Amino acid sequence: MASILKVDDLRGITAAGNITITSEGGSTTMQLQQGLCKSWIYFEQSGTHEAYDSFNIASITDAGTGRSYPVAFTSNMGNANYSGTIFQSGSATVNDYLYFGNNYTGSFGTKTSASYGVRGYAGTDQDVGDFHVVIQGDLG
Amino acid sequence: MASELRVNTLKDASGNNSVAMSTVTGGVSKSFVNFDMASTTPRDSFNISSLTDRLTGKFTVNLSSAHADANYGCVGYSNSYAADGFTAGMSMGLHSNLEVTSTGSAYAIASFNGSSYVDAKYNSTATHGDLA
Repeated sequence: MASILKVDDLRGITAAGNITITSEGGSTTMQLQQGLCKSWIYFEQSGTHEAYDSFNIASITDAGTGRSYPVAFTSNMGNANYSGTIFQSGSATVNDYLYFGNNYTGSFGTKTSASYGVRGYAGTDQDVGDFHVVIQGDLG
Repeated sequence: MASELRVNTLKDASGNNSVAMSTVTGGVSKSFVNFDMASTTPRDSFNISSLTDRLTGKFTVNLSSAHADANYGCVGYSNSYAADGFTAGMSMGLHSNLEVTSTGSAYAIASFNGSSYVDAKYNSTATHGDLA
């Protein structure tokens, strides 16, 4: 029989931030919270830095050609050690190199629990048409 | 006391935003890691048992709970540089059966700076797919 649970807030009993789910194969369990993506954004770096869609993003700032910093979270991460993966699409130049906030020397891109920077580069700084970023790790 | 709730669908209290439990289980990432290739200790990780340093710029990522098969999705980023900043020409090999055959419990990662493999300082990967 199908079942539906209507609820606004899911919490663990032993620890509020620890809910266990069973794997697809049924042979193991995993923590739901750790598997959840904590933030993502799909934005255009050129022009107005328009975010087409996003999750847990408070703001994104144009820091110059090819540079977007800070990309600020609405709810901060627990530390600066979170994992970020990035991808581009729709760029006029196919061999852009994408850079994800890793303390690029200078005043740009220091990664913190509250924000990170991304950069498009193809020999020189270059605005990337469509920039995609996915963040995983611990929320604060 | 531990408790177990068996349910097919989750909705908010208003009855909106329905999501099947199969979507919850299938949609969550099954592992992630953020690490420096100068060390086999991750900065942060989930469902990672260990990192194996194979050669310069080449690591194997070992999972604690294995995927059901070797066909899981894997995404990642590497700055292909041994310090802050990045290398123009950077590229990253992931889950590619190059030298190390991917299995449900391990996959390879390689960081290349355009001319040679390099122990990159910033590497992030994540996997998606069915767990065993």
